[in-house]
Amino acid sequence: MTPFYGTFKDDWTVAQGWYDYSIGGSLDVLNFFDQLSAEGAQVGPEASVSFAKDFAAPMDKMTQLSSKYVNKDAASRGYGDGNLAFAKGAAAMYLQGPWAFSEISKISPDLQLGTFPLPMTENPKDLAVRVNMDLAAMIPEGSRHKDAARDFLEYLYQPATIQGYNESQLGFTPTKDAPPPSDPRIAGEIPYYDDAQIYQGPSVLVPKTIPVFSYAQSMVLGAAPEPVLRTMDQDWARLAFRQPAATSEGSTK
Amino acid sequence: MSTTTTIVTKGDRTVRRSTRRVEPIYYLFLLPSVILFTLAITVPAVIGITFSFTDSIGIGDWKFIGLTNYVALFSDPAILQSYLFTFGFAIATVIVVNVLGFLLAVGLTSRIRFKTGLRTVFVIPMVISGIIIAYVFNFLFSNSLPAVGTAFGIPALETSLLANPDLVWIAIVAVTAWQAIPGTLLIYIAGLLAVPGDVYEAASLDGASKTQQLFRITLPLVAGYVVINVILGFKGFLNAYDIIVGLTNGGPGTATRSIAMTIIAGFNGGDYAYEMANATIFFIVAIIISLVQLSITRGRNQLS
Repeated sequence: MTPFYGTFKDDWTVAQGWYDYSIGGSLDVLNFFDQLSAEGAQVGPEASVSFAKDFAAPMDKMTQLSSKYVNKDAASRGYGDGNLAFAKGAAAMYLQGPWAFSEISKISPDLQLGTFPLPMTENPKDLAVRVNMDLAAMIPEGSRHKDAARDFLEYLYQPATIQGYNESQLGFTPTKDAPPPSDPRIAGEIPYYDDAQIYQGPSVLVPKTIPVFSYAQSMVLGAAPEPVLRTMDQDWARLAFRQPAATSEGSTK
Repeated sequence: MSTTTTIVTKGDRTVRRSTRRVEPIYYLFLLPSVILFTLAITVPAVIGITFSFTDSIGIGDWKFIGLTNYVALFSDPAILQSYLFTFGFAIATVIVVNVLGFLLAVGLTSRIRFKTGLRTVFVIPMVISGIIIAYVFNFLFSNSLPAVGTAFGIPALETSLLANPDLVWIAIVAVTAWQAIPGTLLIYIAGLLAVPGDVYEAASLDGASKTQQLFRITLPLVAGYVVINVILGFKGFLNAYDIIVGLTNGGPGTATRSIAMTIIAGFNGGDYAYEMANATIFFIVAIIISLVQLSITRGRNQLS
């Protein structure tokens, strides 16, 4: 049996899965990016934090898995191919989020599946799940219909609406006292979510102008992580040189 | 030949002198295109070039930061790589397209059976949208070719060409050429049909072989069409976008990011001003190429 089904042709599957899980399970992602933003244009070999320094170990572990324990044709398989193959039982594990369940169940509705955080260290306490806020609601300051917009958002945030939506999407509802998703396939994530053992994906914390999805893809396809991570350091420094960076505390502008 | 040219030039000058007072109606004819060109090309270009000196991310506040974007641009290996890739790709594709297009045109203008039918078949790729071609070939490269490779035990074909960062450009050149050859082919057919038959007759009487006729007569007489095809093709291939998006989306890794792709990625990724600077550089490069091409073609016209 193939341990993991890789869909390396679609770079986002590498970034949100292999790359994010490896790094998120190894280090404090938000803290790392706050320090990285503070270093700004100084990011490089001399800086206290850098991609090359802090991501090297998790990337080495990632490439060990992605080079030896995946399907032979992983490089030419995309997300759709992966869902089809995994639904037919081509591999034991699949590094994807809950959204893939609906696709897989179209092919194999009765397949018994579950979720777990990818262990990256020897310490069970380091286990954490990746949480992304895919949807956010806001009312622009310049809006001419703020009251109407507020009414609409209040409707959206009524427990029945927001919880109903998230239940249907196998997502966690971000409001207080909301129940976790009842789908048994998500149960493996609930304890970590309740304990706040969560991280945001490092691939989405990098400004989109740095092609981090492509870099992650090139590493699982066989490029040595070290030069790729050094390129990311240089990209970060070059961007900081011309644009102020955002931190978790808000913009430094 | 040279005497004819002089007469034509003299005639040209007299004509120009006699019509110094241009009919005002001509200006009216010009007006729509001038207005459209100004609104759709000139104004956006000026706005874009202005923004290349700011730190705008596309929305919100911005301020002028001088040449910072340009300084960052010239030290950016990703930008440099996209230029190298795009120019390498354009040169390779121009060569492939013109060699194959010319040979096909020679074949399709000679006395063969089913000429009209074959011409139609060869022109079909031209009428299919690039993105559709790219997705179809994407499937062929990712699934069909590896399946053939596995079935016949050809190790080179077993892995997808699109997953190999060193060879993926071959796939992009091949697919782009497949789409671009018909247009080139049509121009070459027009050129070959314009060559009068009696020169071949004279050549064969003098004992020239078919190969000699091809290189000594056909090729020099359609040289003008070669120049047109090379210039039009090269310009088009520098803007490579849709076929690469459909085939590799710039991957694997960053191996096939064209200049147009980096510019558009900057818009999507909140790097508006920086990619405007990149677009400005690309604009200047394109102007330089056009000037060089213009002087080459002008030189050629004077020769004939």
